[in-house]
Amino acid sequence: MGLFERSLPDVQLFKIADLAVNWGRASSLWPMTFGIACCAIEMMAVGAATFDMDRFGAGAFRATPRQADLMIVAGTVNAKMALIVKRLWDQMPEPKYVMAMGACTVGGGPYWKHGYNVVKGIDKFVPVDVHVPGCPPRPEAIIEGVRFLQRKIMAKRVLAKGAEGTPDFTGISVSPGTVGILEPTVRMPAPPAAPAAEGARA
Amino acid sequence: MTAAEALEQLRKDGQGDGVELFAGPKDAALLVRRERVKAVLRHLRDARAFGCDLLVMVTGTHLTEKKDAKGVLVRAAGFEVIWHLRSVTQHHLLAVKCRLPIDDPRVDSVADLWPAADWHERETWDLVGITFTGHPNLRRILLPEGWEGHPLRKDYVYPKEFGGINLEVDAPWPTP
Repeated sequence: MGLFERSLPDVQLFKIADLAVNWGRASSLWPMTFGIACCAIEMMAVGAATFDMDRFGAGAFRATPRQADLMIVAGTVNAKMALIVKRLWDQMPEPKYVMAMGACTVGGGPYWKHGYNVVKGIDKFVPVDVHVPGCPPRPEAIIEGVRFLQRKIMAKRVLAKGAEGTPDFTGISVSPGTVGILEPTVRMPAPPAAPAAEGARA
Repeated sequence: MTAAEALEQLRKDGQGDGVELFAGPKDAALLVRRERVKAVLRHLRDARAFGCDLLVMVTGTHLTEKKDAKGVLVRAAGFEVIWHLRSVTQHHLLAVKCRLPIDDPRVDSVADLWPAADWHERETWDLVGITFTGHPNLRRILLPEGWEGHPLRKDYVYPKEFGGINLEVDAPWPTP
């Protein structure tokens, strides 16, 4: 569903314009500086030098929801906190995205059964774009979640008509057919080769 | 100073009325009648022999009815409030307990004896629902205002929603 669908004709130019708009949005995701529990420590690690989420354009943590695009909900959300998370979400300008980070925000986590005040997944009150499971997730998992979100954004329609494209979620790398800009810039090192058997050496 | 020594000293000081020894599974404690709680705790703080100048913890428990194998009532349902007192100068730890009836969980506040008791008593009221009479500001401290019930009671029913936020689970946990 395009933003100006009724006023603009359906021309190929808008599809190209969409590409530029989406590229801009996906390549400068600004997360909000907002941590609730232990997952926030991993989120900080992603922002720091070792993992450096800024390589993917998502490292500019903003201290206000007014300047943020991405809300990484990092930690257990209880009923008291859910009202605040909802308010922060309402304060963010469009377009805005949510990443549910960690088992608690995905589905209640360890508080699933006996957490009398824990919200069993933040998708009960905000629309979640990416779920990143883990307790807490590794920094690589958060980076993968950001990459997934970027691919999802690239498939959006802003000016052009028609249904939204299907984001390509296969594997960690974007298929070359979509947009070359989102080619992965980092590859994980290959695992060390297994030592040869004793018999083979002799 | 063990609990038995403390009880002996209390009796020597003329404060032993309504105090008995509670032999727990691990450590002994002083079991104090409800009317005597504040006087005994004040004495434990002020008397030189005890000198309990630090209130470590106030907490409460909901005790269910307990019967032995023959069906004889061992313990009636009720509440229990526990104070942990420490003497920094004399290096000892004392536990004081008080049993409250199930239909009237009230006990005197000690927030004017130890300022630390203020928040501990608020928490105990918030989660267990024990009323501390004389507390300056007895309202919820952990759960949000407007919450119904006290979650650490055994008969607590989990809420379905709060403030428009759904607190239910979507589906039961899959059985392996």
